[in-house]
Amino acid sequence: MKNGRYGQILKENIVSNNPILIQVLGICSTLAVTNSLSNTAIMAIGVTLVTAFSSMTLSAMNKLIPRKVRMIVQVLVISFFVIIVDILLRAYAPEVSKSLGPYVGLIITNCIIMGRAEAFAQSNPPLISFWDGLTSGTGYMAVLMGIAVVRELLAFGTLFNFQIMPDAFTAGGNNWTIMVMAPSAFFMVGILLWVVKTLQLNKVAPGAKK
Amino acid sequence: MNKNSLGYTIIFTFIVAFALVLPLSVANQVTLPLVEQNSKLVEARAILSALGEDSSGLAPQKILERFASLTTIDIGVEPEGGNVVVPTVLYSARSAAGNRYAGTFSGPALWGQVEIALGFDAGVEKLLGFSVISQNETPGLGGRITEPWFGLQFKDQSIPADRLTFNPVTSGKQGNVEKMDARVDGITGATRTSEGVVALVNAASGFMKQLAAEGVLQ
Repeated sequence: MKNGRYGQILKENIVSNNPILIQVLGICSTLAVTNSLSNTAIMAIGVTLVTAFSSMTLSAMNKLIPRKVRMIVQVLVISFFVIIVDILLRAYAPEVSKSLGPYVGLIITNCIIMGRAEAFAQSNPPLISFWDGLTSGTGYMAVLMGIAVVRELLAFGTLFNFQIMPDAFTAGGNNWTIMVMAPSAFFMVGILLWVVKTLQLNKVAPGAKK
Repeated sequence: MNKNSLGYTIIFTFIVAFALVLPLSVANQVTLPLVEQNSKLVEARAILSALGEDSSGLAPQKILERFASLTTIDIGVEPEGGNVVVPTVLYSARSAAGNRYAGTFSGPALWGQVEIALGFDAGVEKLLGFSVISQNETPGLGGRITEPWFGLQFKDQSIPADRLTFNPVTSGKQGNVEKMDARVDGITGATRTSEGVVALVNAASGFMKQLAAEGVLQ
């Protein structure tokens, strides 16, 4: 029964209630970082860990938090984990920290983290809240990585900086300039939302005319 | 105690803030020597690269030792440079072609200051190297100034009498490889950052020319 709930949360957070495709959260970072797979991977791992640990912590202290300062405490806890990630990157992965620049600090503003704290961690025990945060982050990561694969490949002809396409295909980023810039992710997220919504509607009323 | 009373709220918020800030301070203090060493290493690598020395295969300790062995020239009080911050200390190394000089310069780009190391020959006729020390530009766009191809465009680039200009888009994977046309490729989608970096290089070249005219560089 308990394993069933864990499985259900996994399925919901990755597929049927995906933070980006269904809840439309975390869009800013989706537009910003997805022109490079390595930046996307680091950002998504950071968001996943921060969501998991902050959900667990907030769930553990939920009964103690006064209602009127609930959100202040949530931001404090989220900031704590984001700063820890930042400190660790600066000390042990300075190159990654350098290439992500201000984006690490901006994890604090990712709506998914506070969204899960409000929607799930408040009314569930710590362990399952951790799982919810981890799977929500994984759902976020799956979509971001998918978009980043298309953008990096078309923009620079590379995947994780390894050359895949010939130079003539990208011409130094000039042939697919829009893929380097944020609007391409905007279009791609829009198309993905359209596809997912259509699939959902077909599931609810198969064959029905929309 | 009532969870929603003013007293509880104040005490609770204080305890939570203290409990979270304390480990952060400890983590910051514990990792501080490592962060400082990383930052020193970045500067050392950048200066050596600006002087045309390849330190990529060297161990961190060797890089720091080589950096410490460079001759330093104290320029003294930081001169007026507008938005551009010029170095107060220059690093010098001898080579068969004469003395080489490098320093760190910083100037505004799109989001904030970009700090770079630049190397020059004694006559300030040629750039010997370019390396980014720190920047806050958009990752994947302006942040690409840290990519090797961008910096290599400046290596051995002749310094024109007026100023270096940039092509608004990247012309190929290597950028503009021509060294005598006083042009470098900007980064596609990051025109303001490219503009800022090229303006910084121009300001740095002007400053070094002034030092050469004063006889500081020999």
